[in-house]
Amino acid sequence: MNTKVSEYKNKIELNGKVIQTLPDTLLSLQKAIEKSKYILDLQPNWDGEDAEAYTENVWIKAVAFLCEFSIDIFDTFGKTPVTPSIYHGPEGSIDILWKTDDLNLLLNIPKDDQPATFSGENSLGQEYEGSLNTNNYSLSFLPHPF
Amino acid sequence: MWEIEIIPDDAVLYYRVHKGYVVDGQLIPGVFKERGEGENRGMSTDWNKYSSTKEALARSRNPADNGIVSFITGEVRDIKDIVVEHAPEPDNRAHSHIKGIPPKKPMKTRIRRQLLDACKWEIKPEK
Repeated sequence: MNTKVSEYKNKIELNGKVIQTLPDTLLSLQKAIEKSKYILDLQPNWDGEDAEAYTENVWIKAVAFLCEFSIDIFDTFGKTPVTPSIYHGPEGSIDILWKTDDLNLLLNIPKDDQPATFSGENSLGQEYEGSLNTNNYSLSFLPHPF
Repeated sequence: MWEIEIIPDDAVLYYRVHKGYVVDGQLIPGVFKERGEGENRGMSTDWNKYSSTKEALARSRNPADNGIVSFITGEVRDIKDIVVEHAPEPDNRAHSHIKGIPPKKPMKTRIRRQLLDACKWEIKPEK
């Protein structure tokens, strides 16, 4: 996986390898990511219906994108994005959910090379959905979670 | 076999939820999925005209590991591309399908997000 690792002091690691780093302004995101490591502990058949386990690759892909996206948002707009919840999704994918009174945005990161997909709406009644390449995206085409 | 009926918009549908789809007490969007093949493919629910929450839970493979959330039928029908159909089975007159969740693509993500907003807990799974 070709991921740009930023050089901040707060490291996100998996098995001793640094996946990404975050600035102090995104410490709550770091906590959410650490919490999401539960996904990697799910065993096959965790739902009683033969659900598959989750690979380290899909978790790393989701975390790397989420960090890069959040840093981009902060650097571009000077605003700290809402901290999302990170959950196990369908068919070995990862769901990232931003939910506040003003924002409801779900992003799904698939386990394979298919594009990620998103759907959201805000308190103004505006809705959006689409897909994106997590390795090469334009911030201007994505909803901004703040 | 039971007659297929029209489910009114104010009817309630019960959906079984395995405890693996509950994180920190919150239902997660991955819980919504269709099962089955062809005409029988859909998200299985039980219509409250013919089932209580407890009866719906008892139909789980392992009731101790499951809970129940409910939907108002009209609110589900308000979700674009989704239909609700009565699909009775010989041993379950309440059985009904929520249909229209595609296998992939952005639409699936939208529908999962909207279903999450539309449901409410009836019985939470035991930890």
